[in-house]
Amino acid sequence: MMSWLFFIYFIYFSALMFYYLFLGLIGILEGKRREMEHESEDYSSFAVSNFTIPVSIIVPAHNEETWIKNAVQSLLNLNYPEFEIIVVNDGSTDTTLECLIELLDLEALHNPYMDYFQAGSPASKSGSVYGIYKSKKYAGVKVLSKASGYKKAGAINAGLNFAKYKYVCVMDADTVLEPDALLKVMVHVEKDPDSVIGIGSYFGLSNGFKIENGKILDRSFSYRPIIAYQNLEYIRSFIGNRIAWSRFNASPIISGGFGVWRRDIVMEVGGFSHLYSSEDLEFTFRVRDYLVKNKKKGYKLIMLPYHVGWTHGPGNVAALIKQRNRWQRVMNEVVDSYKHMIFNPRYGSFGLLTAPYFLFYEMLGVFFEFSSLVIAIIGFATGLIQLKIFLTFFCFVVLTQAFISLLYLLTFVRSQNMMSFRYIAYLSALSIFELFWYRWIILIAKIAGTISYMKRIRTHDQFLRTSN
Amino acid sequence: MDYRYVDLFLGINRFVVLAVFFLWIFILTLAFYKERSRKTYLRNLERVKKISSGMCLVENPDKGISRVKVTALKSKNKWKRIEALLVLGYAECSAPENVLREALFCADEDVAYFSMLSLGQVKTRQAAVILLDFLSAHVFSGYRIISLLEEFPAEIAPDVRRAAESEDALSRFWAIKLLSRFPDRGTLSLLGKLAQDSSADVRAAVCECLGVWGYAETRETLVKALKDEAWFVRMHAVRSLYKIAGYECLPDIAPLIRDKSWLVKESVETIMSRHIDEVLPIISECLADYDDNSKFACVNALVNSHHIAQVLQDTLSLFPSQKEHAMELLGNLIKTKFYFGLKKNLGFFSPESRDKLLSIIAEFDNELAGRLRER
Repeated sequence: MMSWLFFIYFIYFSALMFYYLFLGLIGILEGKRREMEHESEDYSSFAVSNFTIPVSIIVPAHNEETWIKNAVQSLLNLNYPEFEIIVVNDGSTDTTLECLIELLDLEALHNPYMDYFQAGSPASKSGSVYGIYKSKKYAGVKVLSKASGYKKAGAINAGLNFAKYKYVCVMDADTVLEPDALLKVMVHVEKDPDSVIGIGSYFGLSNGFKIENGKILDRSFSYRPIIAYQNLEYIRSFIGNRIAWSRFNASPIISGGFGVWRRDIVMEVGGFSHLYSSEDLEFTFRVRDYLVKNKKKGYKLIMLPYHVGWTHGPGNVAALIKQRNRWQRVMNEVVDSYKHMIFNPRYGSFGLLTAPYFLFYEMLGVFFEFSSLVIAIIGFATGLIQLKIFLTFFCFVVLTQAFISLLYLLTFVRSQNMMSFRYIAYLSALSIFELFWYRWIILIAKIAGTISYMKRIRTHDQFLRTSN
Repeated sequence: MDYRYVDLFLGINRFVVLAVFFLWIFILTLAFYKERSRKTYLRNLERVKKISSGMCLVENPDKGISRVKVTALKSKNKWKRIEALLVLGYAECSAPENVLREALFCADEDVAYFSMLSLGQVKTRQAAVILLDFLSAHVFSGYRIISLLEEFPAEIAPDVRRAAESEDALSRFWAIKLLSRFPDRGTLSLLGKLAQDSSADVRAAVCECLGVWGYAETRETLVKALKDEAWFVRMHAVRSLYKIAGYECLPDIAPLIRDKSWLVKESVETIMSRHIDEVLPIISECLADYDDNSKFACVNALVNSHHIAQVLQDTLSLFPSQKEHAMELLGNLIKTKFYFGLKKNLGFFSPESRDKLLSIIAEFDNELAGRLRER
């Protein structure tokens, strides 16, 4: 019995490792290609062209008084010919709106408002827009005030009602964008706007940075292990998996932290849904589903490895668990809702490569990880597993995981110049010890997320943000 | 449990330990090298310029250039080839067009794309012709191509005009978009012909171009385009007509507030809000319609023109006809159920006038008047 279980876990972990290895290698190749493209691109002519595609930027903000000024200022500093900014103050109970009034010198508008997307419920007034403001200081900047309800999805949808350009960029209110963020992604859209319907790019954690007036003055990455591990995770996720999936046009997510969508597609699928714990993953899956069901071919969702911005990550274990709890919940919700895509050849490489990963790793992985731990403990305690076997298997998992992390880190180091030698050395050392504590925190969060998913909890929990 | 597994894992572990160790060393070396070279690391065009000066402009330029051309055409390393192609464009080498043309029509999209960028730097008529030809290949969107061509000197205008007569509709469309950067009365007859084009995209581009040029004699063409079957043609016609004729075009434009497309409505609404007095009868009529989107556009026009306070003021007028019109407008406004800042505008009046206004509002919507009174 124990041998069989052992065999099953071995197959599971090995398959996972081979999958990661495959993604890692593809990520390296794709990352190199993207980096060469970036190095050779002519951004200067693009930045001043009259034929650059304009973008509407939507920033949903719920109790973001700590970060909103920097986020908006970074948008005002963007080097892009034509864009508009729509900040949606989503039922904030802190001084978010006051911060915006002070920064943007707002004046109230008294225009009528029509809810084309699902921004709120007109019957209950939940989520409805009650204030429209425009900046007297900056052209093309609007602020909407809405009652809370319909979560972040409702706030984005409220912004969509006001967006006037063909492409909409959705970003978090705690994200500070690089001045060339839009240039870096929109140049890929402009190559083929008929096909590219969604595009995202890498953004890292700003914890430890010195940021003033939306400008990053000092990029000192935090050495606190909880932040450093998250940095490592972001690298693994963005630079490894997502870039590799993008190579096969199988991206599962255009992140809500920074993502650009073609507005006609957003309209056709009916905007973002408030029925899920988080909106970005579900929206991407829904778009893919919509494209296949409506026989729309040749569309692309692209993920780029260029750093476009920096977001503030959870600074303590409780906040991290809260965030990852929600992530796990939404993954379960999405896999459940779109299970028909898994191993379905109609969905192409997405159905065969990405969707199964979400089922086997993101959803069922929790059960495998947890049960392997329980069985190892029971087996070890009852003498069914000898110490030597336990240790060799444990070493196998630790080493292979470290190998995969290092592989992704290598891809990152090859193409990026922002992390110091010291920090890279630190991350590479941490990758070996991940299974000793950080992994278990994430496992706890995943278990909590799975339980709350089963309890049908669908809230968009926001972890408490602190300043640097 | 079977000890066979131990041997198996020990074997695998040894292998993985070695792999991790070498990978770790490799990463650290790379990170160290990157940190050392960080300050001198040149990005993007700077890098290309540096390479180009190294390859072409030192000692023996002719030999250097021919070497670059060979690399650009024959190198099996794609990125080396691209680098050479960029050098040809940026380094102002003589006659790079043929090499770049060959690479432009290459099957590899990256090679084609960077040849295109490189041609964009050459800025000769020959380069422009190649790029305009490339429009019909439909490999990349015309956006990127014309964003490169817009920086070319005006001498390419005849070539752009020729491209506007291409058999390929998309080429015509992009060529007309680009033509907007080169105003020329001599091209008006061509644009007049293209305004009847079978492609709606082309007709829309013509309308947009005429608006940018702003020649008064094109007004008739644009007025005809207001009745086009494609909404985006009508939208551009509205915008361009206003650029050319100003408020004089209101009688032509205003009826389009009832257009099926909300983008056309929005364009009309923006114009109407700038000339609200002239369009009040149309707005009043439209507010009584059934179409919510048209009503919405009309309310927006009134709000944006800050005319709501004036409507309220007119309802208190001693002139019967003025009062009658204002009452009708206010009644229709209230019936739309849209928000239009009534409370804020009431605040501009004295308490006595406000009371009178609230009783007028109560005639149309008693509940609304009650709510306003409470506030």
